[in-house]
Amino acid sequence: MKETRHSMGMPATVEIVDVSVKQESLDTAFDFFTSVDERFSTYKPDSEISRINRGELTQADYSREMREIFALAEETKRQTNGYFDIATPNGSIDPSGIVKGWAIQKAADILRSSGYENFYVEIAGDIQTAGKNSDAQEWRIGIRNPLAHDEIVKVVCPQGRGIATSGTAARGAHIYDPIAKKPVETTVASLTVIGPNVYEADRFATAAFAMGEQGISFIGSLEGFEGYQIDQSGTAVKTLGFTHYEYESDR
Amino acid sequence: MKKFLTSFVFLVLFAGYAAFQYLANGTIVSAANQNPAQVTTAQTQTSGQPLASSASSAQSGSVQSASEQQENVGDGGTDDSSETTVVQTQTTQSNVASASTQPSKTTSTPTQAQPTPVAKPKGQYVDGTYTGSVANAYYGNVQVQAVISGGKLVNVVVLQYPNDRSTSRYINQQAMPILVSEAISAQSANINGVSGASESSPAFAQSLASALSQAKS
Repeated sequence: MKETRHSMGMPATVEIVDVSVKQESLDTAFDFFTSVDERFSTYKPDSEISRINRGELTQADYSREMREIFALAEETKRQTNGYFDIATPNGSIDPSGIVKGWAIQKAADILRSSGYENFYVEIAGDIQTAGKNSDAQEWRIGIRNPLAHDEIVKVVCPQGRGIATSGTAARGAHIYDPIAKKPVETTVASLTVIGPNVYEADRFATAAFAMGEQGISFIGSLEGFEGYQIDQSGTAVKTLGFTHYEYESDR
Repeated sequence: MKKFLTSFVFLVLFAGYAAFQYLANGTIVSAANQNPAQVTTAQTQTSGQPLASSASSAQSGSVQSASEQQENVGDGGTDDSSETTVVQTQTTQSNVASASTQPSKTTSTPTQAQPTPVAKPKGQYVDGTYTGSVANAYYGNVQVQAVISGGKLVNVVVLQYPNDRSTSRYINQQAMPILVSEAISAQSANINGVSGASESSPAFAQSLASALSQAKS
């Protein structure tokens, strides 16, 4: 049973392969995404995060989910020497950089605790799979060509791990050089990361992409993470261990 | 042949020693005589072990930014591409720190890559620079600036992009990952899903449209 809905401002897909699947389980997952959006969207004036930013809620009033996200953000901040920060320059808090991967991961946890063993959860290209697909094979994920969006340039089997891609929407992107104080062209078009789960893959894909060409080295330096980085010229650089996940159809 | 094997064994032993020294001390061992390229090539072709490459990294040593060495290894390691190269990247603490101290990201794109508003008749816009609204890509904000010259959109500068909060200085690692380079090519396998980065496009388009609406003549 497979369904795609527009959720959290993006397409979200849930597929459950187990024969015991019930529609209500899909609904539960999508309802969860809706609740996440209503709680964490800084663009919804009534969301909890918006109320916190307006000073209407004190720490004692925070929901369990909000506390969890803040704790994870704090942990990520520590792991990145204070660089990853949900506090924005204007003094408000924007946890959206960490919420998407977390939400997919949580939805997968919900399905798992409902007894499902074979499923697929995706929000806008970030994916958590479990077990096997409907053909009783490993889930196969295509990596989109960032230079030609209707093209797949690599097929991987995440084997139960999480996969996420970070990249620019358009060609000729620049990153800002703080030394030269001007934009310099980055050659990186997209960076796909396979990590222990989609939450980990997502947050580190995001961080590594911002490093430009260094990103893939950063991913390669992390234990339990593999990466596939595509540059604007159509050349890919991957970590050695990435090969382990590649699907080879004709060999 | 025996001589070659003997020297190869020594080479590998030295490589292991050099890697150990480097990892243990975080410093560069004194340069060895072997050519790093030879070390890497031999190692990759025989067993694909990353050890030798680590050692050659230690040799190539200087603590400068992003020294990437590319070495052709014939049909080494991987399968998918006819042009497979092992890229050995030395990631030192300092170079990662410098890579990650970029506080914000700015991107811009050439005109031909823009969404439909660009394709309108020329002379439609008043010259100037216009800042678009902050659009929500959910996991972060996207904000662009449109530069109009000669009545046409000539540049789009991305002022905010979701990644700018998340640059990481998370590295105390001494590891030097082995990277493999290949040319991408279209695949036709039957797949269950797609991972790709295009999800910020709607927010991008939204902010750009807002900037362009200000530029209307």
